[in-house]
Amino acid sequence: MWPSGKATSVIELAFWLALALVAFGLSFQFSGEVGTYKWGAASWPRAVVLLMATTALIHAALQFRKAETSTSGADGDGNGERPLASLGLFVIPLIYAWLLPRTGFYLTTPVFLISFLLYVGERRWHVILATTLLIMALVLLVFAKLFYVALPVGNWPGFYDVNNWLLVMIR
Amino acid sequence: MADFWLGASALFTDPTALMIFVGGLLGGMLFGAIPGINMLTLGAVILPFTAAMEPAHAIMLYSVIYCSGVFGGAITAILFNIPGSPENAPTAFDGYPMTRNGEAAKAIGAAVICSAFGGICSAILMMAATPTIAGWAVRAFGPPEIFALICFGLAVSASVGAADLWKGLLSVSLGLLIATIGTDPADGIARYNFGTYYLLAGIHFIPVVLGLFAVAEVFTQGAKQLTHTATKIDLQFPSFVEFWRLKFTVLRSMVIGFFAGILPGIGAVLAAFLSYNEAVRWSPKGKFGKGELGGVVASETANNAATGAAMIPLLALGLPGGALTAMMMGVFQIHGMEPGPLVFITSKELVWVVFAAMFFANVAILALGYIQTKTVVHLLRIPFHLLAPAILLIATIGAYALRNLTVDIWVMYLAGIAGFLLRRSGYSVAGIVMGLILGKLGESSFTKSMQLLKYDPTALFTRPIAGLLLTVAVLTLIWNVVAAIRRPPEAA
Repeated sequence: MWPSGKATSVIELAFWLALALVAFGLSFQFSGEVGTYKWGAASWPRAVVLLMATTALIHAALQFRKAETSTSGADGDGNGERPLASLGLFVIPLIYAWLLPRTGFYLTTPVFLISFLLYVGERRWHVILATTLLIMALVLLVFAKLFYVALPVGNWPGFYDVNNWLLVMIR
Repeated sequence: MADFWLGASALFTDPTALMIFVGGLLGGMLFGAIPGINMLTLGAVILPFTAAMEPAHAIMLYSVIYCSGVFGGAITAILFNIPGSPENAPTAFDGYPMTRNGEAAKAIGAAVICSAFGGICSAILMMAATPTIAGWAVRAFGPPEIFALICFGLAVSASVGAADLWKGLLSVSLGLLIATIGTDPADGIARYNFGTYYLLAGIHFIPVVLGLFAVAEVFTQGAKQLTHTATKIDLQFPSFVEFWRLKFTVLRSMVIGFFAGILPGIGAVLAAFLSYNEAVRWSPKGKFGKGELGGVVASETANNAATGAAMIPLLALGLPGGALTAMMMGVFQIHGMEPGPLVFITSKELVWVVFAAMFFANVAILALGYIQTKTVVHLLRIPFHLLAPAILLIATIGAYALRNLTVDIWVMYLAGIAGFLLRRSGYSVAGIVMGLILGKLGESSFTKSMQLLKYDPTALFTRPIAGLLLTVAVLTLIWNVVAAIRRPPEAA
């Protein structure tokens, strides 16, 4: 279950105040430099941080006052969902994003597509293979062959050569 | 009128011109519909090839791409919550909820009609009033006025899509904070770049938009055990009565889009956001963010109304207002020409061919909408769990292709996770995007204003337009705060 009520308000307040504090603290790294603008580079971010912290405090105060009636999820998107299942949904694309510059787009993407389809519950191998092939074919046709989009070819030994070979074959 | 027919006949009697017109129309629509690869990508790719074209053909090609490209992303925004172009991001705020409510056909119909209407009216106004309006707007709107306009937009955007005003304000402030990453606008001093040069150019809003809308939507649907109902989609125009109810929204959006298009640096993106904000402000009982037809109407009318208007400062003063008009400036220079008042005398036919092409490109949006409805929308019949990896993949390519930076992919996925978590907590992803987009321009115009006004913020109120806009912004915020305190958060 997702946290709700007062616990949510505390977590949210902690998040916003922590973010504001970190941003304010980091602003000292560039507050000393004065150029043509008299108020300096830190003035605007600090004004934003002040707005953020003030709003978070007011919001939390109002939430605590109405703790008994407060709910989370304005649009009801949180209903009936599985937080642990969501974790996997996040992790697969993040691993894909990490691998892309290392193992290259052309080798990594089919693995990503198959992994994602398996994770979301597709078990029919012919559907998984057909979907992967179709998506890859369309993407390669449009982005690699027609638009010549320079997609990552990897920098790990071996992967760079294989990706480049695939790219030459496609084009 | 005679000049218009002269331009139209030059366009339709020349097979090459006609071919370029159709090519630009379809190319703009296609590039507008694919996230990340927008009309600017197309404009950049074809720029070197325009040297071999007639000047009139080359400029006309860009003007047609501008019209169809701005419209192109509306349908994917409505159906998949993926704005093909940033101009269509506000369309997704209500367009996609309408799809989820089973009203996709009506949302598409409204987008088609309003895009065409906004564009046609803008083209007519462009033809009628180019020199006069351009002169006034460029003189009247300096940095203080633009800053006041941004404040006004931010004050209103806090009430869009969030559970309550405070969460809306927090969403906007998060967007404003993200906008400060990179360098400061006055002296280029590095801020929040964590020692990496990848962040010196700042966080580009396209990966953030892709993450908050497309990726977060995939995560949301995935967390709901991927239940997706494929529905039959068609093009259904809203009834006359529905449009009549929205007459003020359409007119207001037209005016906002037109003036936003004229002002350098504002353009179709901010036109759509500001117009959406105004629709929210003027319809307090509307269910904005949950499938309000007025949201789609406001956004699509304004972004296309901005296209014709954006040509006014370019052609009348040689002042490009945005990236695509800057490319048009490049086309003029490639052909040894300088846009400006003299163009109306030295290259009258060129100007009127462009005007006629823009007018007919907007008329053609009605047909383009039909074509897109009969092709792109069939993707909706595919079960979402099969479509989801394709959406993630296209979004990944879109984010990467923007600047060939892997950091943009990370930004997109992190924005997707943040969007997923923030949405379920009642925060507004629309507010974050508005803060991010308006923040950069807001700080830049504030910095210039303060340098101009000798660091006296009260001097902003001595300028009539800036003072009026700031006063309305403050009153809007006070009104919303009072309303938020009076009512419980659930009802906000």
